[in-house]
Amino acid sequence: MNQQHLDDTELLLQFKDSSTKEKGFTGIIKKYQEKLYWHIRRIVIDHEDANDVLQNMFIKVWNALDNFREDSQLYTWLYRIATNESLTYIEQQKKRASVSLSDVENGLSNKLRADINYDSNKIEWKLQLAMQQLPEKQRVVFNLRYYDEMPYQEMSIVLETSEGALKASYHHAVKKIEDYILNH
Amino acid sequence: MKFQNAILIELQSLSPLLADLEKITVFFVPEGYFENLSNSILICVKEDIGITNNSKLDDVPEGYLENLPATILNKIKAQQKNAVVNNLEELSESLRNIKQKELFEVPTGYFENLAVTILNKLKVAEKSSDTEESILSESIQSLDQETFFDIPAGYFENLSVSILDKIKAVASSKEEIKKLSPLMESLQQVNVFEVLEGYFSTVQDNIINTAKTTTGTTAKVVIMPNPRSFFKYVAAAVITGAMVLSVYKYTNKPAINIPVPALSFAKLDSSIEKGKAMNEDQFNEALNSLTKEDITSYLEKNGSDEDISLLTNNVEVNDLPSKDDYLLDEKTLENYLDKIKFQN
Repeated sequence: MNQQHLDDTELLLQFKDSSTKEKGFTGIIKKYQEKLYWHIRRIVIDHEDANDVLQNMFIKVWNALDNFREDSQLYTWLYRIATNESLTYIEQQKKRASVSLSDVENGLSNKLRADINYDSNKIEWKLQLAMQQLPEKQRVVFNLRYYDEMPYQEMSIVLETSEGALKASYHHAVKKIEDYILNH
Repeated sequence: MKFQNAILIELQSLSPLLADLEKITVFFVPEGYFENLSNSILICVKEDIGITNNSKLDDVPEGYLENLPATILNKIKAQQKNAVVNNLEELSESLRNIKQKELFEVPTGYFENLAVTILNKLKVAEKSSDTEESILSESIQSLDQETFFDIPAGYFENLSVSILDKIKAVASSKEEIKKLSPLMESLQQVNVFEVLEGYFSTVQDNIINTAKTTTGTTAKVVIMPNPRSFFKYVAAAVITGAMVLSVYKYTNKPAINIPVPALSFAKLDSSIEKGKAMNEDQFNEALNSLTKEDITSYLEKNGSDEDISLLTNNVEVNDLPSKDDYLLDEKTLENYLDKIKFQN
């Protein structure tokens, strides 16, 4: 049976059974890896950083999944861990950059510009640069709504913020990005 | 990629530019990354929790688990002892060097017999209360157990009977009213008076609050009339009246028919009438306003031996004015006296 098509409940049962724990865990990874990867990647930009964050995130899932109360959907729970790990990673990078004198300005915008495929004329790269102008949390809100098409209700669970605040944040983000694209 | 309808509509309302943009992934992912991702994560997980294929679970000494609690306890005690010694070393080296020797002596076999001694004492104490009292206090034991309150003779013998009679009396009254009027009996149970809800629970607080608000103000003291003082005043008035009457009677004499000028007589009568209407203070005030000439002229006209004797008896000689002030000369006095004798 293809583990990817298994229901979350079945995967959780497999995980909680010691004989099938690894099988269930593998099924969870395979089912959500891409979604979570891209969510992390859009925050941290760099692949290696995203890989580190993703692996750390799943190690935490392995340790915490036994205590998962199933009062929310599995994927919102996973998204929440991934978001927190990504934002924590960015904060750590900022602190490292402020301490290290050799790093000039290791901003995410520079990371974008440093990408091998970067093309400033292409609107999709402008969009990415515009997104980097947003505060981290606002950027996450935009990513979840624009790319992952997550409903505000689920987003409020992931980000532990009210739906109204999320709606306002998304609207502001869209306006800012539009202004940036039009003016650059 | 296509948007869900609702999200697309929302984005179109916010920014048609972004809504029209094709969602293209600009980021590059290594080939085969996602296929191997789960395995690599599993390896990381196992490394993190320290699970390896070569772990040996059989290398446990025999009896290790059974003796483990005792071993741990002994280690804890040793650690505590060491901690005390180390602490002492830190505090004072001289203290550390002092040998831990007990200075107080204990009788031989004290601790061995201690438990038995205590148990024996407890058993002895349980046997009799006298013993317990003697142990507790000799003064209490010496007291005679006497009751200081008197009770009627045969009280306890008749107590049960009297209680039963009272119970029967209550029961009989109920039966009585039931026989007389079943309607009345039912009425007894109906309470016609209404009490405000929560009244009894709040009445105490209301009283206390009212008392608090009225504290600080002194209560009006109303002096109640004392009946005894009334009788006192009555008695005093009677005695005074009797004295006045007696004095009046003693001093009241028929008037001497001395021809008096009509005008002065009329004048005198009005004065007497006026004096009768006066009270004591007014009379004294009028008397003080009289001049010496008025007094002498009155005495000349209306004086008598009794008046003179009354005056002399009631007037201190020292209070009299000096002869020089009172009389012009001796001859005037002699003439006056002769005149008085002649008239009488």
